Amino acid sequence: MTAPAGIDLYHRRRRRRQLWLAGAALLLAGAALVAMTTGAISVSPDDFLGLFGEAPTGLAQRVIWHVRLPRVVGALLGGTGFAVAGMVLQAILRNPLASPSTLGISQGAAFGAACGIMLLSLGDAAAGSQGVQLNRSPALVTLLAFGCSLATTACIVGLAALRRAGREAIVLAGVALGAFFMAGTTVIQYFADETQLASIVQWTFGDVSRATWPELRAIAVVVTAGTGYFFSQSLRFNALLAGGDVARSLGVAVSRLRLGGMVVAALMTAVIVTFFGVISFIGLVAPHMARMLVGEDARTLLPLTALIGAVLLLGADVLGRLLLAPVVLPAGVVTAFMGTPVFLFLLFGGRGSWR
Amino acid sequence: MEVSVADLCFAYGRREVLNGFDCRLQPGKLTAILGINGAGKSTLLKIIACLERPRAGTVMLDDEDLAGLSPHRLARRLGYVAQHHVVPRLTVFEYLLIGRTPYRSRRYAAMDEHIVADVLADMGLTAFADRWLGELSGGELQQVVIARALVQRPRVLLLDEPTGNLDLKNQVAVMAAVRERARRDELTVAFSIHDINLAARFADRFLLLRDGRVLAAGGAEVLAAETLSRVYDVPLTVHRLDGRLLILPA
Repeated sequence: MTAPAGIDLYHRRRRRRQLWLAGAALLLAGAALVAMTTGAISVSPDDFLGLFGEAPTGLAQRVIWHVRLPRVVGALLGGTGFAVAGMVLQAILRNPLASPSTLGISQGAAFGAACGIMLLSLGDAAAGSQGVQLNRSPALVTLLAFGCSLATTACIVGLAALRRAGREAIVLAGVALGAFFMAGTTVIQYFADETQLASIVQWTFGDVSRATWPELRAIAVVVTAGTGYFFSQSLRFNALLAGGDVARSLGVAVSRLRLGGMVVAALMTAVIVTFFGVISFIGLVAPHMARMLVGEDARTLLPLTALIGAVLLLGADVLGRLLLAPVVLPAGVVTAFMGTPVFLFLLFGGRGSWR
Repeated sequence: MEVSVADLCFAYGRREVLNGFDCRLQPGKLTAILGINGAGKSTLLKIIACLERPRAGTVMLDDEDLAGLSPHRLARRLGYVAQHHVVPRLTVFEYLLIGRTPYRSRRYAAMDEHIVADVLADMGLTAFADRWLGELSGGELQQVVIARALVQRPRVLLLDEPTGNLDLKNQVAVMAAVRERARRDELTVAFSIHDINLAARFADRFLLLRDGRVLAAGGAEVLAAETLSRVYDVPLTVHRLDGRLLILPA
């Protein structure tokens, strides 16, 4: 017995979407391979294989283990996290301009981190220590970054809950909040000494090579758990696509879904920004690209957004290493350059992604 | 499933919208809710759909108090179609699957796909299954949105201005489709509407609202010139033409 015509068409489209997912996964694998082999020191496939044997000894293997691999893993996690957070924020606020950076959440996290860096080094100065290692106690920095990004999120959620606040107003409020936190960061920079300043300025150059293995583990836990949570809520996010009232009439606890989504997206953003710094546009561009390819069904949109985000950040990192070699540009600088034309293309030249 | 509303009071801030409101919606029948803008038509539908909480009063579905039902159980009994539609980038089939949300939390089952296919076929929409929502005309979209509510397999269907912004052909098509399902499946249907003649043509019962109160309720006999003139604040005349009502400004 053949399936009814509607089901048949639906299954065919689902298969096409799975092909897109497979294609993006292949592209990601390719990008990861390029990222692993690109750089000042050349590495061969044998060096990779050697990693699975005894502890890495050769130079190439040490480069892979301590430099390239953490960088690739960082770009994968960071790209995934920003993209998924952006997708969820866009779905929750029903606003295509929403993303961790356009809503000021990234800037909030960076401001919190800057405060953390200042507080930490003040503590160190009081203890009379020299040569401050600012990443030595990331817990406080993370906590402040998270606190500030959560405060930004709370403002945005509060504004979104106001009946009269339109979609544009929320994004504009996000831009204003972002500017406010940037100003705050500037004030801190003004009063910072050279070491602190260098550390804080690093934040504005989002860089995926910064994190160590233990930090990457923390990011991995948060990004995986957050993405898993969102994926488990796919059907509810789909219902939300039909509008808040309709979703509620379908039995979805809309306020809880929105609040939970915002908090988890903010947590993901905060943790990534804390260890990598501000990386803009991935959260804005990746969901748009995925949406153009497969539509808004969260069951495929979410994994494709995650894959595209990872490819974009990985690509940006590789480009950063190649563009002005031997100078290495941080990925955050490249995404900012890359994101603008890509976003303008999506806005004006794409196949009607903008509605 | 009968819906009975008793002593309902509702206000937006200080502005009272419904005041001591009573009404009944009967299974298998279409009830048209008539009144000027701000009379409380949409609010009444939202309260029955549990989207707004009344200050006082009860809404019963047969002998169950609506306030005591969990959101999922409510959503399996009651479908709501909003006045304005958000049009996400989904195909019609995917959009209809959303209607199965009250029954699923993690993934749709094969049964859900069959229910969607059945409703599509029933509404004559199978040809649209793989089309993007954004490509549909206003009339097609309205039918698809109603189909999404029917996929919920509700016993009560609430439609907020289902014919607003539709051309005449589509107004008739949408109302005819709704009436057919109501008759066949014993659905309790209530809809708000501005076109009195369209309401007179398709509805079985009428609820005439004025300032948050029921001015008159019942069958076609309540559509008298004097009552309607009071409801709409404008002199109206009621004529009979081939056994049908025709309501015109005086």
